[in-house]
Amino acid sequence: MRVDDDALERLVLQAKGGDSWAFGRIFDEFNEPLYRFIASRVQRPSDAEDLTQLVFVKALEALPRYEQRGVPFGGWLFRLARNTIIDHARTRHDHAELDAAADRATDQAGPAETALLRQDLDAVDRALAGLTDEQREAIELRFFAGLSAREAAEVMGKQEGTIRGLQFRAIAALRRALNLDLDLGPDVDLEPVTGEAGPGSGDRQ
Amino acid sequence: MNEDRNVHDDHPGAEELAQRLGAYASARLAPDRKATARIRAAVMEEARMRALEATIGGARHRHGVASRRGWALLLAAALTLGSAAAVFAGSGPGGPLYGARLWIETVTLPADADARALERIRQIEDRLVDSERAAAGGNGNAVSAATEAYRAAVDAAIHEAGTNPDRLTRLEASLGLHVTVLETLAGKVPEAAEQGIQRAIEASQNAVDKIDQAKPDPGSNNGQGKPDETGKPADNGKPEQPGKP
Repeated sequence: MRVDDDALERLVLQAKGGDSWAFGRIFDEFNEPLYRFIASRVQRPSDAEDLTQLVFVKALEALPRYEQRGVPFGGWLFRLARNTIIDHARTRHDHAELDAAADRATDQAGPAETALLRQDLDAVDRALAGLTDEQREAIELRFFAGLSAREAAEVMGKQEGTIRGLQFRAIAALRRALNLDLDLGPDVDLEPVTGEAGPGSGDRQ
Repeated sequence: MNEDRNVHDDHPGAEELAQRLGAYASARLAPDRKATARIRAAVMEEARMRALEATIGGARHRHGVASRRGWALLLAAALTLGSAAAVFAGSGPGGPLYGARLWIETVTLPADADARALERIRQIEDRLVDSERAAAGGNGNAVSAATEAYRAAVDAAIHEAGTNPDRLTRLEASLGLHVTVLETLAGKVPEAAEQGIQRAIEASQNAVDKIDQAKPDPGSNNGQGKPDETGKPADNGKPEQPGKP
């Protein structure tokens, strides 16, 4: 996380006042996690790009009406994204551009290594596909977008405890599907370890 | 640092799952730099247009309220606007007042180090916008002047950021995007201006390198920006909460 809660609050206030520079900083903070979340829902990279742009434009429109009042900005923004994805899904039924979704991690690997990496990624893909919609969304928000449980709860319109439960069951299912099913005990709760900066993954609770 | 954390990071199964999800996100869900630059450019243009519309809208409203002040005021406003337009035209990159404008911008920067660092980033972005506008107008001299000013602003920002990890990280994030914008710009400008763009790209890249060198060693616990397990810097002054589930 690059911007702390106080700095983000100041940026949001400035952006509400029409400061485009402040909005640019907000964009820099949320662009990548937002894109990841959208890409995990729509699959087509071109759609992910269009929708990410659309969400930020919608945020520009809606920002004057945003009031903090206990709602974390990340939760508000991702809720906007979620609604935009739902609208998109209602109007578009194209097949995923699987070829276009190139695996960047395999770009510089040799053929054998590439095949192994692809297998690994495909296995994660299949494991994610085996989750319920809500479990998958909880994983996407927590791991791919880096949101806190509270922010994810705001996005999904659920209680924080429900999110933790969904995440716990999703992790158990993923571990089984990926043959990592070791007995970790009842209280284990994985934290996203994406190696990437993600808003809300820090102290924005 | 994170209230959600009750992780058994040392457990092989838990760690492997987290790593595999992380690798999956990096390989299949991360935007490439060009896509990010495209989205950012479109969103920022929208933001600027909206800010401009709001300003014009506000001015129209005020004009409506004061319409009874009559033609004399209107004439005075027109003269003022004409003068302002002339000054504005002269203060663009390559114009006779451009240097004065940059000087005024610099001397009016806030004294507080954090606020100044943020304003410096804004100043650098303004120079980037100057470069883009000059390139769009096909004015090679203006591009050179704007990119030279860009380099100077980057140098000043690096110098003032010192070794503060927060300021350096923000600056690095901003400069990383600028390189993409400048590289796109390089193919669109006259040959003479292209050299200026290349110098600006080098300045950005050198600055990013300097920032990497200036950042504190992640392994050393100096109390500032200590990275957590995700590789992200922890917030200064916010202690971990190990006992919290």
